[in-house]
Amino acid sequence: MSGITDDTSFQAGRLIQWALRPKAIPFNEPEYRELIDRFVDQPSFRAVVRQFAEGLGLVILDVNDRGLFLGTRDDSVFAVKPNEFRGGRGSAEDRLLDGLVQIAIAATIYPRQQDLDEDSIEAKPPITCQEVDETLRRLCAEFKRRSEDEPDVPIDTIEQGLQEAWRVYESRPGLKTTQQGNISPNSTQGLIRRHLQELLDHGCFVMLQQGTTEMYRPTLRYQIQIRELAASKLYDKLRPFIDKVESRIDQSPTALAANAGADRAGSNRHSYVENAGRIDEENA
Amino acid sequence: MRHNWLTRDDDLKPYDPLCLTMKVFEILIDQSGFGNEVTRETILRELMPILRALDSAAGVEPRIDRYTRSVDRLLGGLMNDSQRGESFMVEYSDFGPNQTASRRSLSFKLIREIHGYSGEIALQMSSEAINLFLNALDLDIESEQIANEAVVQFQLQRGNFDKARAGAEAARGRSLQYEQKIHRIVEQTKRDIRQVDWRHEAHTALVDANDHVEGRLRIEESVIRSARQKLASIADDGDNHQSLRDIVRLMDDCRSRHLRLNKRLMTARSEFIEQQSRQCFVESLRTEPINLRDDLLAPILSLPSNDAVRISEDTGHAFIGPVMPGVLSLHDLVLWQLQPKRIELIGESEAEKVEAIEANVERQRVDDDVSEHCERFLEGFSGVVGLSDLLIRLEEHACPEAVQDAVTLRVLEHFDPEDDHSIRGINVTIIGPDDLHSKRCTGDDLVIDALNRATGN
Repeated sequence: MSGITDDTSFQAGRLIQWALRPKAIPFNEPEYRELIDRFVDQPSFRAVVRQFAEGLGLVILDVNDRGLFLGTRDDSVFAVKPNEFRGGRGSAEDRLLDGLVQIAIAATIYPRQQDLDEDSIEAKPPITCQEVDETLRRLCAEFKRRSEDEPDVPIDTIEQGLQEAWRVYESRPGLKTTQQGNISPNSTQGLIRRHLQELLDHGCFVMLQQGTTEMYRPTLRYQIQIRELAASKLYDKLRPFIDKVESRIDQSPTALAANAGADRAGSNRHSYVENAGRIDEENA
Repeated sequence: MRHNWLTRDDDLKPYDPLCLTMKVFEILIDQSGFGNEVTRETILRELMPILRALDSAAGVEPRIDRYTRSVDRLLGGLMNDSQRGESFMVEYSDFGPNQTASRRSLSFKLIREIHGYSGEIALQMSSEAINLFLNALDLDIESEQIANEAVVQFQLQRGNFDKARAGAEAARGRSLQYEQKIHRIVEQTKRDIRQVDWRHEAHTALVDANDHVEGRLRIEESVIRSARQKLASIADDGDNHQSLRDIVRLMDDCRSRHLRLNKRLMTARSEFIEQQSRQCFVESLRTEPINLRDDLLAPILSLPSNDAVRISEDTGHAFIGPVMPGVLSLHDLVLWQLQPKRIELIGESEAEKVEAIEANVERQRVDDDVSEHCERFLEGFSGVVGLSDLLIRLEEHACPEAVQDAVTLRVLEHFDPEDDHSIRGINVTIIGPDDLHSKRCTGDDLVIDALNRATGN
């Protein structure tokens, strides 16, 4: 039996539609549940759904009895544009901070590969705005310590956007309160809160209140999104920059002298990471 | 955990964490079934009678907030919350074959939180905790399962329904463990087919699992049948009846779990083949681990700001997932307008109200160089002219449209009595209603009088 019936395309569309509703759960929706079963059981239906998704610029990240989880390709109409998320604010600094906060939220919940590799349905503990801020500030403090010999950046460098990203984050206050005693949106914690609230609206987090502390717990959708798409995509985008830095290190006279005769194969990436990125746990 | 609990000098001290833990394990084994998930609320509900009884024995007033704190502390301890849910680590000494001593470490979890079927966060026991509870440290789950079911069958035939029920509970615990084991194999293979020896190990594991599950299904069918026959044959005498009903319920749960596993195993093969072909054609499947904090966030922080912006904006959508493009719906708009004012949450502050006039939005539409041209033109302007004539003249002199718009805007601003950005030495008055009909704007015509400028007034 081929499995292709007259309504296959229609049902494939229905399944994609269910998957696009972040709060829909197969457990509560018999039609969604049946379509998931059909997706798992019938390779032909699976193929149609995949093609359908592909045509919409969507990619199927995972499917299980908790739902069908989709990601977006860069050119998809369903991909959130950076300015849509920002809500009108558009200075270069704002754009930078938005990006850093987005990555830091994921890095606070899943700092290591093994945190993403653990059982896919395991729920991670909730985080607070303060924890995300601390993740970034610890890294900034480490960079600051390493660059003690060049504390100030020339104005030209800042204007050309060549100032290191950590300096921009570090220059913003962590926690500023308004006259009413609330978190100011101009502080980094206020910015983190705004991002978490946005992610909450998109079904990526749920909020728990413990006393006066807001805690945000990642949903399965967010977990799959980071594990199956965001981490590798970010890595792929970052790789050319890492390669550029590595080649600069390799071409510098000191590096050439230091590396003379040494077997470079396989060691470059680590040298970059050790020099520029990896933060010792005790320092952190 | 018990030590920590008892050394804390607070109102939870009288409760014994070990006793509560055993009860939690029992609840998790007994109540985790399909369509039935154990949450924090379930645990609180089930522990409440025990806590009340302990309070009553100690002559303490029962308090729900204390019970909630007890459950939170207990579960927090069992999930290792202080270490963000990491595995517990226990170090122990071991002796090798030639009597050499070595230190080993065992990492394990007891309870974990999972994303449940119903969308709620549910609690699940680890395989190690099931072993601990069933008092069996042998990890051969399959043999244990066969043995447990044989016990149920045997005790049923002998009429020892309590023992049969205990056997059924153990069988159910094993089916939970077995489900986790199969789930792990399938997940790992799906993630990266190269991590699994597909040809030998995974293939054999699947074939064995299939046989095992089919065997279980047969036995479970027969146990349920026997229990139902017994149930029909004995008079309703309370305890025996209850035990038999429990056996049917527990074995039913084992059977539905195995039916689902059977289905999962039947499709696993084609899923693996599909994954294999997909992963074969992926350009470069990464083999090195990606640590989000140290390998991604830290290097991005060290990059020049504009590079960091480019990377984060290119990947931003991957962190959020698909979002439906917004389309204006009048129905939704009306509903939105009719909704009551949103309650302000803790930590939120109301945005300050901005007067539209203070935002100076019209001026923001004009680029700096256009604005500069416009100001230069108005500074050098002299005489008296109508706005419509001025715009015609500008058009004839090939003045850019943006500059024409800026001039019109400045003159209109100057005409506004509340305007603060007056142009030096110019008076603007209205001359004819609806007389302005230029290419780019229409309305009342204005007259611009710069005669006073020469006298410096």
